[in-house]
Amino acid sequence: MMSSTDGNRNNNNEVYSFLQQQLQLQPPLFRTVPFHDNNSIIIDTETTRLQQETEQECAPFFVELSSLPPGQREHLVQVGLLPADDALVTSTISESDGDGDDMASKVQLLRDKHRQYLQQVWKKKLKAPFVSLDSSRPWILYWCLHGFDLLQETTTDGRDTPKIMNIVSNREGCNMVATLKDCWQSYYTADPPSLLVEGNEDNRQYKDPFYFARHEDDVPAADTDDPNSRQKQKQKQPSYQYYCGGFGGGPGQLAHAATTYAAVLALCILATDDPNDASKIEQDTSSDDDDDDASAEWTTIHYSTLARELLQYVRIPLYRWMVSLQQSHTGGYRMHHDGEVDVRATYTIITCAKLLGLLLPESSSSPPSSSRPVLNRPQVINFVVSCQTYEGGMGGEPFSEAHGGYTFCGVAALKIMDALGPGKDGGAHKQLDTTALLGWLARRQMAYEGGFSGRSNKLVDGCYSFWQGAALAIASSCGQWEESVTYDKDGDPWLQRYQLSCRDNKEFDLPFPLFFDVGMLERYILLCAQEISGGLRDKPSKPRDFYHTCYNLSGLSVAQHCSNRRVDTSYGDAQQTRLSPTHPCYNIRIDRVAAILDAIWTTP
Amino acid sequence: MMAMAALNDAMIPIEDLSQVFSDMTPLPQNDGSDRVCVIQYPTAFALAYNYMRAIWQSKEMSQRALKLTATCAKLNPANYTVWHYRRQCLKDLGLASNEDAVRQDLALAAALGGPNPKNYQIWYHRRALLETHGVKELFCRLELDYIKDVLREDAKNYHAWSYRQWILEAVDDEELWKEEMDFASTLIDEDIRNNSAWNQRWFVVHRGKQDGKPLSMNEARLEADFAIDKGISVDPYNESSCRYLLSILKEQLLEGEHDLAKKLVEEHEAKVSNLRLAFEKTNQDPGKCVNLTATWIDLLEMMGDKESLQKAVSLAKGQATEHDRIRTKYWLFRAKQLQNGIDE
Repeated sequence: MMSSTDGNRNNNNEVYSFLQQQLQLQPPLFRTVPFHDNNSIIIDTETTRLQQETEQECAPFFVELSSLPPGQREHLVQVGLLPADDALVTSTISESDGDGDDMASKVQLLRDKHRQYLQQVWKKKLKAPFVSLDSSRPWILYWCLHGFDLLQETTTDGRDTPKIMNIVSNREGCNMVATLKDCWQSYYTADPPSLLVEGNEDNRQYKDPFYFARHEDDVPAADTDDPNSRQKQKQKQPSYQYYCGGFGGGPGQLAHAATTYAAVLALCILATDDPNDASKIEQDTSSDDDDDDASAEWTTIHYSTLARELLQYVRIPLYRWMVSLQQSHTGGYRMHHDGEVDVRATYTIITCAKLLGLLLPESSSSPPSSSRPVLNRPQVINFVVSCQTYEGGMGGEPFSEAHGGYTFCGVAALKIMDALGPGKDGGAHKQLDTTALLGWLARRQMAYEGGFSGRSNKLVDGCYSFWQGAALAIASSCGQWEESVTYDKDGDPWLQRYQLSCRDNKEFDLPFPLFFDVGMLERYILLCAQEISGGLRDKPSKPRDFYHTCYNLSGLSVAQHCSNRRVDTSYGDAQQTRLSPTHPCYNIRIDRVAAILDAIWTTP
Repeated sequence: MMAMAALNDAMIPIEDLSQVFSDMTPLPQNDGSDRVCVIQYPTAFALAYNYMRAIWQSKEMSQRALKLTATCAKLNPANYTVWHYRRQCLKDLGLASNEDAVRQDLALAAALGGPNPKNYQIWYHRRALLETHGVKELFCRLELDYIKDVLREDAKNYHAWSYRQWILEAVDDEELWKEEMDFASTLIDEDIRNNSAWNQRWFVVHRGKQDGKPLSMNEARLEADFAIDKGISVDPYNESSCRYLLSILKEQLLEGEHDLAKKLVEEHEAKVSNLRLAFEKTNQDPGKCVNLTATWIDLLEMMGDKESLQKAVSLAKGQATEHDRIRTKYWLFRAKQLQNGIDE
């Protein structure tokens, strides 16, 4: 696949072969003894105490599996962490060759248990303590649906384009769409932002491709066609009422950027399933209940159609609402009307816009003016860049401490706005220091635990497997790529790889390495983050929850699919643990991203 | 902190709800079998929120609506719509600019947040109140003290630090900046690895301004010396002080007087180099101190001459192959970058 015919262009072609050579010289990294050397404790503070405690709580999980007595190994088989019927596992000899762990490649992902854990949110009701998430119900749905999506069984090892079944039964899917629809909060405005309008009352120039599209629920001003009555109209009749809206955390709640993101992603998952897939029909017909009446929507229309219709319905009002959240003087966005401004808002809004076909590419020829698309203006990019701190990562607002969640938001937003990538220099906006970013991100992987921390001198947490892991996957794409005729430097490399593998029916590698230790991360997730009863967690001392399950799995997917078999050593049973590939910018399955970005939206 | 009685006064007791809102029809939510992510609300919760929904629909802004928002905020402090509506009621009732009312609401937020609040809505409520009212001297003090209390519980509470930065930027008072410098130093004293405190130091020394103006050479020198003498020399394994030093120097190189900056870099490269010798003198392998080596590599890169760069390449390879193997790929990439710098 590598077109390395030009022997003299050594810099770019050597990216992988150089790494390969060096890495082949190393013995495996998976140590089992606490590895304090890189973080030696010569002083005693709150930070060092907490770090030591964390290492100690992980240590029991890192015991070398081959050295375990057969009884303990049997226990691991019982709980599903090791395979049954495996000669090496059931062997009565327990020995350690001190040089890595042969049984590392046997460690299992508790797929069925995690699926059971996640699907309860649409099969059962949640208990009372969940009231603390009563303003995050689209999130709960997205975390569980996406996590479940990653755990989908595929029939191949990647050689063929997998045919994945629909994610849920039709009834369940329709219930999901209905729930999200309940979270839709709309309002009217008569005043488009002055940014978008030039000229005076009689001679308005409307400069935006989406804001002024006519929506079925807009309320036109009465009778403006009659020039004679216009004088009277101005005093009495309301002007054109633009229908706007977003998704809130629950019915009746204010539209919010984060819950909108979660809702849109969940709808994209549902919308890209196959209306002709009858694989889950048994689940519908065998369920007990009172919704037997023929008028039940779910018997006639597939949820993917309903989801697509809802996305089509909301896209223009969503655009108008997103525009209303922008702070034109700083380029930031509020999370909701009169709400807080931080880089999460930029990311969630830009992502929704991109998926719904509302983010036009930047036009390099025209200067910033009211005619530019509102969403990815240079000010928006500048705001994100201004959140980069002296450490190299990004905080929520300028000068806030560099933090994994916000760094992911900033990096992914920049990538989606096409402001990051090899050779993306110059232009009307400030540049991100990608070297500093890469350094900060790389330092977030914990030398002993293998997982990521969110900030310097803070503790490992399984959710950062995605926030930092995906940010690293994106940052890794900012350096030099291997010379390749197959990849276009100006495009989305993950989408391109997916399209290539569909076209040629084989696996391709990304044209750049993944700058973190893949095996060590996988080891942390599989050994420390998995809960025996299903679900994944922050660290062994913390309980499981849907959020951590989603993001541990998402991080595992990034580690598996954004890595390179030639240079990366994985941990665990590669085939058994294999998840669907998630897109590091959007965090839904790449094939779903491709389908949504290809969707044809009608802009009236 | 708000006394229990005062907190109760701000709310409507659950048992009084139907009487207080006897003229309204509560609005239930559809939580039937055709919905997902359904929560089994306790009766009190459902009742309060059924009335809250009715109020939202009617758009009533009144004392009873205000009190209902307190009741609902207590039941779920993360309901941002409740807090938003509360602020709208305060404005509508003319209380948003009333000092006593603002003070009470700050106390309410504190009471609902507990000793270490990690809830966006509660922190944002404080900020929104003061954005409207203004962060006058009284509130400034009160808030800085409140944040200090929270930081005593958790010296790294992210919301607390962000909010603290906003207060300082909004007031922009030289005395306060100086006090804050002391505060950050105290926290560094208490825990040299408190990265939030180091980050705050950077913020303070730049007066929260991102106008591209670097520190003066004197200030930079003070900061670099602090980072080495009070930071790296005390605990060379600490990433926080290393990154701080490097960024102070880098800022001078990129934006300050180049020659003076170069000199400052050289001085500190020598200091770091000496620290490594200290390891050897006590029969320890300085290579094991990954942070120190990483710092030295960056300093050598800043020096820019061929010999320094070659040293840096060799150190980076050592990190990759032996000392910091979790970051092998990163260090190999770094070594290549540095090597390219020599070749060009």
